Amino acid sequence: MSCVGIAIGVAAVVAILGIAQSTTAGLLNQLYSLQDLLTVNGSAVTSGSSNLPGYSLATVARLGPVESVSGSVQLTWTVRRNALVPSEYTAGITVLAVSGNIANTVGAHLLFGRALGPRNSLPVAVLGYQAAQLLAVNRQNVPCRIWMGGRWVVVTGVLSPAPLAAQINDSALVGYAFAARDGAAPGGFDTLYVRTQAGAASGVLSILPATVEPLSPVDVLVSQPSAGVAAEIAARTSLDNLFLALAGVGLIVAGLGVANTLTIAVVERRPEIGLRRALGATRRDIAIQFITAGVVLALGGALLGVALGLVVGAMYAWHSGVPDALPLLGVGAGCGAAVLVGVAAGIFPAVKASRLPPSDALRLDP
Amino acid sequence: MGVNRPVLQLEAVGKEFKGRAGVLALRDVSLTVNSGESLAITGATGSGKSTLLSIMGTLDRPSTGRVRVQGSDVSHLSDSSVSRLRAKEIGFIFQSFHLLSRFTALANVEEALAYSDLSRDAKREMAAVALADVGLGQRLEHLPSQLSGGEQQRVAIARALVKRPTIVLADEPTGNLDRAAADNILELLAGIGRGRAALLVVTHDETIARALTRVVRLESGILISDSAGPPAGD
Repeated sequence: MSCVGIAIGVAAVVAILGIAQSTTAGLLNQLYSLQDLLTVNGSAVTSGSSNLPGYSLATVARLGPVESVSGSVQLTWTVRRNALVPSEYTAGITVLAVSGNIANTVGAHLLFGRALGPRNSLPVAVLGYQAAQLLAVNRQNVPCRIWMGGRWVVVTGVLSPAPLAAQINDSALVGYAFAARDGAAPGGFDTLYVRTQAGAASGVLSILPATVEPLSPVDVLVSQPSAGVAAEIAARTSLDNLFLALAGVGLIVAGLGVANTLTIAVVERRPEIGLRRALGATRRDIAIQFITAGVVLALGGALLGVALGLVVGAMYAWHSGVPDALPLLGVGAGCGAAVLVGVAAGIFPAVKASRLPPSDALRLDP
Repeated sequence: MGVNRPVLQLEAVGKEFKGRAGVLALRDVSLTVNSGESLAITGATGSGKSTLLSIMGTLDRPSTGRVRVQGSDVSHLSDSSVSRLRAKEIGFIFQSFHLLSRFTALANVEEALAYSDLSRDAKREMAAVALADVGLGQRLEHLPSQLSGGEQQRVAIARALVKRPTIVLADEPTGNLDRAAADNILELLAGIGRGRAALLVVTHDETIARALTRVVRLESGILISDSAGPPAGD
C-alpha cells in the first residue's frame, strides 16, 4: 500500500508535468503560428457605426510589413440544410461575406474540397469547422447544397479550426462580390484580419488605426489575439505550479506511509536484526538495509507512477487534440523525488533498527 | 593444537540493567576458556546465564570488568570492530534456531559469511560443505518450514560452524527438540568439542552438561562453581 501511495504521488507529478507540457506546446504552437495576426474592428465612438470602410482593405494591404489582409462582414442571411427546415432553426450559424484569402490569413487551411476564389461572385460557400459539423457536411457529401438567403448555395469546401478567429468556425463564408451582387453586403467590413511579417505585428499595430480610418482613428480597435494565448500560458504555468505543489504534498504523505511501513518492519523483524548483528553485521549494515528497503519501495512505486502518469498525459493529449509531449523532466523529477522520499522515510526506521541491542532483539531465554 | 591457549577471558565482569529497580544480573564473574574446551553453563532461571552468554558473545557490553576475545579487549573496540570480530571468531546456536524463514537452508548458512570478503561462489561452496557435515547435504534448497525441528537446529549448527569460529556459543540448543533429535544434536555438539573451537553451552539439560568436559554454575549472577577448579580470580 505504501508503494501505491508513492505511485499515486509520482503519477500526479508526471501527469501534471506532461499535461502542462502538452498544453503549453499546443498553446505555443498557436502562439508561434498566429503571433503575427492582428484583428481590426470598428468601435463607433464618434462615427456611430462600427463598419470599417471598404477601401481599408486596399490601404492596409499596401503597408510594407503586411503579408495578407482579409475582410469579413456579417450578413443577415440564415443557413439551413434545405428550405423545409424552419427559418428560426439556424443552429447559430452566421453568414459572412469575405474578401481575400481569409483562411490563409487567420491560420486555417482547407480541410477538404475547394476554396472560394479571391473575387468569387458565384453562389458557392465554404463552411467553418464548427458550422460543417452542425450541418452534417463532411468529406463524403461535399459538394452539397445548403439553403441560404432564400436560394440554394453550393458548399465546396470546409476549413480547419481557426483558433484565434472563433467567428470563422461558426460561419458559412461566401464571396463578397456574390453578397454585393445581391445587395446584402453594406460596402464595408466588420472585421479585418491582418497577417504581418514575422516580428512586425507590434509595429503594424501602432499604425493600423490611422491607416484604416485616417479621419477618426479612435474609431478603430486593433487587437492581437496571440496576446491572450501568452497570458493563458502564464496563467496555466501558475496553476500547474500549484498542482505540482499539491502533488508534492501527496508524495510527502506517501513517504510517511513508507516510513510507517518500515517502522513496523523494524518491530516485526527484531529477531532477524538481532541475528544479523550476531552474525557480524554492524549498525551501519543494518541501517543501510532499511534505507535500501525504503528506496526500493519508493522506486517501485515511482516506476508504477511514471507508467500511470504517462498514460494519463497521453490520454489527455489525445482527447484535447494537443501534442503529446513526453515529460522527461517530469519522469526524472518523479523518480528523483521518490528516491529522496524513500531515503528520508527510511532514515528513522534505519536508526531505530541499528540501535536495537542484539541481545534484546534475540530475546535469549533467562 | 594449542589446547591451553585462551580464546575467551572474562575478568571481574559485572552487568547491571538500569531501570527503576536496577538489576544486577552478573557480579564479579571471572572465567577463562581455552581453545578446544567444551563448557556447560548451568543455573536456575534468572541466574544470569543468558546475560553471561550475551557478554561472552559480545552481543552486550559489561557494566564493569573486561572481556577479551582472542586476546583483544573488546571494551576498547568500536561497534564495527566488535561486529567484525564476531563475524570472524564467534558462532551462535539458539534455542529457537533463528533461521530466516524466506531463505533456503543453503542461504541461511551463507548468511553467516555475508560479512566476510569471500566471493559468492566460495560462500556457496562452504555453506554446502557445512550442511553436508551435519547430514543435510540433500536438503540444501529446503525452506525452514520444510524441515523438522532437529533438521532446523542442524542448519543452525552448520551456520555457526561454516566460518570455522574459535568460539561457539549455544543457548539451550536442545530446548525445543524431542529426545531423539536432542541426542542427535548432542552428538554434533560433541564433535565441536573435539575440534579446535571452544564450545560454551547454556543448558538446563543435565545430559548435555554431563557430556561436556567442564561445568560452571551460576546463582544470582555469581559464579558459584567451576568443575575445572575454583572460579578464576578466587
